[in-house]
Amino acid sequence: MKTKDRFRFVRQNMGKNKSRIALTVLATAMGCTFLIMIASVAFGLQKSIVDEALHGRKVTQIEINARAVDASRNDNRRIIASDIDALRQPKHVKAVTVAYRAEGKWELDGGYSAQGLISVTDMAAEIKTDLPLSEGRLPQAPDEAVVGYHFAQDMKNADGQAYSGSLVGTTLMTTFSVYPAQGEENVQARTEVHPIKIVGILEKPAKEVVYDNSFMTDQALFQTTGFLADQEPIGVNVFVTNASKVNSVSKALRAEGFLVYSVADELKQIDIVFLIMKIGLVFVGTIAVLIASIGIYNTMTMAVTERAPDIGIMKAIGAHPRTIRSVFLLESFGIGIIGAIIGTAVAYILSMLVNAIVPPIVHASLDSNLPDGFVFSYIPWTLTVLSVLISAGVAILSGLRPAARATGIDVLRALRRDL
Amino acid sequence: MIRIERLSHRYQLGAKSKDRSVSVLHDIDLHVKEGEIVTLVGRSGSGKSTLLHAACGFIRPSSGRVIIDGQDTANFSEGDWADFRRQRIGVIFQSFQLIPSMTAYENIELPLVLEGIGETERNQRTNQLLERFGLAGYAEHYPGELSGGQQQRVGIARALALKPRIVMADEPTGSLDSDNERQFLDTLQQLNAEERITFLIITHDEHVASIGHRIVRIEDGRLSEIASPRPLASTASAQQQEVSSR
Repeated sequence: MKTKDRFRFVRQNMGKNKSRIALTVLATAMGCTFLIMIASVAFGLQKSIVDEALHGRKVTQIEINARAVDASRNDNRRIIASDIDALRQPKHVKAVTVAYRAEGKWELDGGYSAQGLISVTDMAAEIKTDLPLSEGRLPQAPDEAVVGYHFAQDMKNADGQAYSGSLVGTTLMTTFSVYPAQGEENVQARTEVHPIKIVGILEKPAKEVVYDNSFMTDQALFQTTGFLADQEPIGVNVFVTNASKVNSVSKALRAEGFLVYSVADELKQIDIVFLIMKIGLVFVGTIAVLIASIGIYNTMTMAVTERAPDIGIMKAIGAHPRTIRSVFLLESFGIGIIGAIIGTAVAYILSMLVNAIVPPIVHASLDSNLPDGFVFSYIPWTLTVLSVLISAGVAILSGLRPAARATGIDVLRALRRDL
Repeated sequence: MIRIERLSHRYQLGAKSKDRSVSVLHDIDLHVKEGEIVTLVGRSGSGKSTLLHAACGFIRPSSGRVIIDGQDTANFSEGDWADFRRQRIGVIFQSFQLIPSMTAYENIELPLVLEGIGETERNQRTNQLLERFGLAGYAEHYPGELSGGQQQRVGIARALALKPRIVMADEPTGSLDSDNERQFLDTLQQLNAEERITFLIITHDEHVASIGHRIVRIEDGRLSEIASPRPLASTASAQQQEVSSR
């Protein structure tokens, strides 16, 4: 029997008892909707709370400390420029930042000055890592820089008074000094002086004890001068797209011999917690689909009983048991898949409604606002696929026994209407 | 064409009563030649239907063999029987056994659908059969909208849809009036004469039995009498030729 004819058969059979089939499809759709909605809460929580929380630089950052020369002898070397391309290779790497260090001296009109360390970095890569600012913007030109939250406090005048205004928009005459990497004793430092415009102030450190007086400027400033030519990077970091990808990227980099460290390494359990939560909710949702499957089983069993004489006739004229089984399985699969499609569509509508309605309700009843971007329910495509597969799979399982009953119908008893 | 050898069958009485059984067929031997019409007559309960059901594969005999078209069916699975029946045997039933939710056209088309024949060829063959059996105007009628004679013609057309070489019929005129019975028998004889289809017909009606080249009587599960009212012409001449060559 051709597949097209099987479908025609199933369509005809389903049309014979439309109301019963419609109710069974409805039950399956409700089960599927429940499954998706309950699991979507877990996905929504992860997206709203965890992904947002773990989206920051720190948790998506992987520090690259060295690369193994001979792992068996614990022989490592520092990261060199040729390693950078290898760091960009793993999937989900968003940016690789390479920072060089220079000694700095700053002077501002009004007699304010300071000394400290300058981080000369690849600003284009830093921008990709969502460098958080408390004020201003990220640099867009080589002669622009961002400074740490406490940097202004280091800028003092001759009386020892710290600069009190905002540094954003000011230009600091900056002296950069580096020492040749391999030089003789008493070598002279190389020095360049550039006017650097401060365009942004970094976010206040989360820890109150941390004093951030950093100064970040772009390597592009020295592109033509070769100022950093013989310098080795002092900080190499790989940033991944989100925290959940840190483990996989770390693993890939370790395989390449890199010695890596990330905060997420210490938070490996978090993945397991979310995984368990999602599995638990999908399992609870699956119970609803299983309840719906009782309806499918009942419908298919009744269909087999009602059609027993027809099945007997078909067998008598040469219908293969496999054909009969496939027609009934296809019918239960059809009920499952139609229910799943309707259930998924309803779940998407409900999810949108919930996300639109919950924030005002929370605001009105609890007098508090949900965070920006908070979603109560989120349905990723993987959940949709999983739910449809579960619904279709459960529907097929529900149809197995009725289909087996159909194939086992005794021809003579069926022809005598003795079933 | 159909060779039945030492066929016996016992029915178990009740699902759990293995000890209680009733024997309905005893060491039946029957050979139906190609192009022959054999009618099997007997009283109700004589075992004639059981014999036909064993020959069709509807029941598995307790012992003995059924060899059809050179194929021993002893080890056939249910699926093998289904394929074999569909491709080689047409079955006609007393109460027509049409699917009530299907039109005359769909009932005739059903074996072609099960065989996986393409839609174009299916349409052509179904329409030919409808035409041949005078059902062209009834294609879209459901069995409930047809007379007994028309339903039986639909049943014959369905049995012949895949052009089988063998047709087995179980009391085919049992539900027909005398006019329709005569028409049916004429059709059968015509099919036999024109297409050399082999028929094994179960009947309790002596008039129907008389169309057979041979009449086989069955009593209490045993073949008790064989008559040849009109021996198969080609077989007779073949036998004559065989005798002459010796």
